[in-house]
Amino acid sequence: MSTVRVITNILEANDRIARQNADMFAKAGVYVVNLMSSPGAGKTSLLERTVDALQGRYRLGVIEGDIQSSVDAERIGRRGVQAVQVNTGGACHLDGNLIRDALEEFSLPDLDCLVVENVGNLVCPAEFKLGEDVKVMILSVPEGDDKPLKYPLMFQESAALIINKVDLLPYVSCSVERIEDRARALNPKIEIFRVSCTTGEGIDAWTGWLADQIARKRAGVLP
Amino acid sequence: MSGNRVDGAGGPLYIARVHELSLAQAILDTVQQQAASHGASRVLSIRLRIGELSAVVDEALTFSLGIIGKGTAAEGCAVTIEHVPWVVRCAGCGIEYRVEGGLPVCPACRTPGGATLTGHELQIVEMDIE
Repeated sequence: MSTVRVITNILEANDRIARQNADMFAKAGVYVVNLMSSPGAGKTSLLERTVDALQGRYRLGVIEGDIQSSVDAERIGRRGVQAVQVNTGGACHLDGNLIRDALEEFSLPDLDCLVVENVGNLVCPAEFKLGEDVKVMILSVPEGDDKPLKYPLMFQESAALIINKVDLLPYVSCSVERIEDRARALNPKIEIFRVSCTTGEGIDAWTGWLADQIARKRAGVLP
Repeated sequence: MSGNRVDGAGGPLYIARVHELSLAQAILDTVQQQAASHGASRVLSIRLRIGELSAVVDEALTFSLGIIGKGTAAEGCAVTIEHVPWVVRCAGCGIEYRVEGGLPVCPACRTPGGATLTGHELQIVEMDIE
């Protein structure tokens, strides 16, 4: 018997594919968002609002990750945006490989921004890199203000936090201030947007931030 | 891992299992490569180092490894998991402390937040082969 010292990151193979994806995105100047939340927090509703605000100014593409079904891709596709559905067949997160396969459906040079809607889950999507520029997470107020305590990694990894369904605040026991304080304790640089995809409140601030990010990525790539 | 069990929406054990199943597959791939490159026919044990922030459930990970390891050099191998606590350097006073209760708040000066020093680990450390 012999002992072999390995010291390998368990997710190294995925990280490597994610870096290859990131290189492809950089070459094409495409800004990529990995959008994460629990099921029902409003990822697809936010995407619909985002598409409505940015379509015409930017060329958008969407990858829809779900365990099964294609209802989300159909919702986005109805708005005239290319949406590719990826079914994980049981797995609770997307990974670099699934994204690489889905990219065959897109012409990257014809896109400014690609949004990947991850599988609804606050645990593992934080762990599996896709090659994205940023992770953005949504927390909806009915889920409660204790979520930063339960899923700290998700808040640490996200560049932006969207607090959705603020129109429901009068009806739920949730403090937005407490969410924000806790999120900033975990991640002092996190950008926070309070929105309602139902009323449209706060959507402009979010899409303004996103548009700025897309423009920066393009500026970094163009000579 | 105590106090950090996955309780996400949609069915706790199901989500826990599939999370760990992906990790188990990644571990098995590396272990098989290493065993082959050392000319080993059997993997007797694997030692892992897993940070508190990773929300890995030990039983689900070893269970997954046991199932997908069948028929490979790693079939029946022992799995040891070393847990690495979540340690933060305070952004205010600079002391290092272990995070308790889910949020990094300095026990000395009460400043929230700081750089995470350990707790993100997801590593294969070593393995015994023959």
